Amino acid sequence: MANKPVTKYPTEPIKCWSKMKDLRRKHFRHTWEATDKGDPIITGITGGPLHAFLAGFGDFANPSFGPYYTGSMRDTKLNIKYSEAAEFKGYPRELCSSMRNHLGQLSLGLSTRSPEGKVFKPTFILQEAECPSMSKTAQIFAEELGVPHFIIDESYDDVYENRVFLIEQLQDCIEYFEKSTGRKFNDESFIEALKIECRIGSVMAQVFALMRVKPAPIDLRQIQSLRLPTTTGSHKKETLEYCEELLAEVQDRVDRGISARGIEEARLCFEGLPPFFFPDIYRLPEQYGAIFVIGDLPLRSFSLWDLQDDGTTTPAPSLEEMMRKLGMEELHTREDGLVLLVDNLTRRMWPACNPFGKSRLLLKRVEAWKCDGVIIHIDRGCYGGQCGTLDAKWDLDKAGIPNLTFEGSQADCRLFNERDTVDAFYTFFETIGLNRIDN
Amino acid sequence: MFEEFRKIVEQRHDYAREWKKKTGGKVIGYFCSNVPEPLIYAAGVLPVRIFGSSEATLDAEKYTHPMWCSFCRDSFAQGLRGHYDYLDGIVNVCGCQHMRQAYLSWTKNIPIDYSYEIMMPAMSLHYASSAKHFNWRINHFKTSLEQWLGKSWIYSSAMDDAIEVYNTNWGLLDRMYEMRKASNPPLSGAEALDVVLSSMVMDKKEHTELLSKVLEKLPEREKRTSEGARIMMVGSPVYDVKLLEYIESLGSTIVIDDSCIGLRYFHGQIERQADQVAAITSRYINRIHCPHHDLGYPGNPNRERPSAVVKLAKDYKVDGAVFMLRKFCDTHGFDFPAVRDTLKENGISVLELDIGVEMLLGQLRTRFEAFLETSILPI
Repeated sequence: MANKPVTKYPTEPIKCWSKMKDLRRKHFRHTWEATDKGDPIITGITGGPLHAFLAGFGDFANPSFGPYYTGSMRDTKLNIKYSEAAEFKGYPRELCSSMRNHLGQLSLGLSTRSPEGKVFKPTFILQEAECPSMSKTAQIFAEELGVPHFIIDESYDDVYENRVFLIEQLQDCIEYFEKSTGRKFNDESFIEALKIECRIGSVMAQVFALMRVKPAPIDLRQIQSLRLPTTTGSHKKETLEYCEELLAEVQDRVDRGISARGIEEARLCFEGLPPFFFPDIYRLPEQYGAIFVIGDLPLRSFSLWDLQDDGTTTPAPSLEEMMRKLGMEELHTREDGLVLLVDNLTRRMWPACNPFGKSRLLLKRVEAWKCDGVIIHIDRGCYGGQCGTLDAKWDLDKAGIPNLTFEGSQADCRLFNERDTVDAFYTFFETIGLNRIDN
Repeated sequence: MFEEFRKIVEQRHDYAREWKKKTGGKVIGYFCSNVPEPLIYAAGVLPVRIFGSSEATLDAEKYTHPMWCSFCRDSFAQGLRGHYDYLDGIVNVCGCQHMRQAYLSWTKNIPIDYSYEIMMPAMSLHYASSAKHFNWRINHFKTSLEQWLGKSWIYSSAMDDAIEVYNTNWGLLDRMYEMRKASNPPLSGAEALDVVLSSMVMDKKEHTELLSKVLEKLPEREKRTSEGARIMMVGSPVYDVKLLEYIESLGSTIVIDDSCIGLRYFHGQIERQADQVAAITSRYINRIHCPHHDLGYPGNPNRERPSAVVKLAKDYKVDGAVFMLRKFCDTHGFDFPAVRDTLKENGISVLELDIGVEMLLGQLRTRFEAFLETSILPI
């Protein structure tokens, strides 16, 4: 039986791509050069808005999951080597694969060594207690490297006392790090960075919101890379310029009807972190004329939203409007900045590890991004991210939304079976009425 | 001598139903030993720890994927099968993600009148802001409990009573554990676990009465011919008493543990102060924590647990330690290398045993006996 003809949309390469790559290269180079420049190196996995906070200590480098994490996602030998190094130390294989990779780099001495062999030491470690695995890993790094550390506790409910608790922690963090590193916290730098971060958060949310349009101007695979500068530089002016350029380009694509991939027989949502060593998982639907139009990872990594109780999300308003809602006309003091920063923490698309809002958010995401189905990654070892995931899957079933779950791992290629996963994807595509495209 | 405790554990659901009929009261199940039980007790509610029955958990795996720890899957499975149908409410403390998953799945799939999750800061509660916030959270929980029960207030006299009841019971458990320091202790590890587990599922007053009688007679108990190797049990919580019996049948006595359903559950009294809620909260702040809450604090990144475990090992003169690592337990998984290395540096051999709902006893036997022969017993 002949396949029905597929609607073709015009498509173009993304102009911002090369700028994104430049910013990424700069980020890596900064890690290697920071010590020589006198810039602090701050390890720990944080995302915006805490980057603005860290900017108060200087132009910091942030190796995040370890300087060789990304490289190990391209090279399976390294991927296995880092995981095995952690396991050799006694960390069970059931632990979070990203943290095992991170710990493996630590035990191999790579967390503090540039490719040229230059040794550097983190200045301090700041970690959001987003998930227990990350918090514990941050502590292990602090113990082993003899580096001061601070863990920011966040609750999953937005109550006044929690905001007070967050502000107190941030103030204590400043005091502690000043005392332990000798570096002074610069309020002006912090406030400047915070304003930039608020703008970036709002701009990126608008970019994601534009992906609700059909045909989607960019798809999940593209935004997964395009959002990367915000994961480590969401406080920088150059990142804001890049994001504004990206927004303009995406808006232009929407205005002209330019699509991500030229085809859009179905729109899909991806829930969970992808297997980072297999980024083409996001491109599998193209074999069937479909694309992923949204996923929770890029939404989480940095964008700011107005979140309603029923899970509806709209891009966060302008910085001025955010301040107005808090009764502020300008950010005069450190306290003003911290109040706004804490407000931003509640505007993120909820931390990964809050299970209670997951179903609501997912159902609304499917509705808002007009998705025809959801593919859910059951990520072995990612207990923080997986909490509530199967419950969300059953809620999708109740709502009649086609979905597929597959087992894998975000960072350990040994726990992922590519062939079986691809087969499962293709079977799912056929069950939602898609046909394989010949070309 | 300890049969009554075993019976209560095995028939804990019947006990709770009987208690409800007798008193007309409500029962709240809880998942984590950081839940402030005395507060619940002061409200006239019986708090019972939810734990599994070491049965297969296929029904739970529909909601909690098999990669979640078996303690939580088993606990949730018991709920799905209706064994806990007498519960009027469930309470959890934000800690281990696995328990959070079990709690979430329970609230979504098992009808329950009341549920509450208490946020507990992960950063060490020795840090003033964390302690203050946790105190606020406990007060908020108290208010929520009062609203659910339709009480205007949990009276301070009731709080006083509850503190007294709990301190007394915990004090007796401490006394029982002290007896295990002696050579050839008068009770086995399995018996001790029966006692502690039963304390978590009974009215504490009744448990105190039972335990007092046993402790009076215990020093006169006929000793076993040999205690074998003195073993410390560390790591993930183990509620399978038969597993401990099996390990002890291989030539050892478990003389101490560092478990949230063992020593860490009851160790530490509530120091009275004018603010009774703060007094209760203090007790939960100042005790030895599970790895999840042992994250150090500004100025001290180091974990407290490894040195606390070593101190216990020395106090109880253990010959070796068995690290019970429940499959998928990341809480203890991250801690394992540090605890193992610290014990070894202090001359204490460590065996790591993977445990789950289903155990391969043959393999366990081989590994444990090899551990005894190679690491503990003199050549």
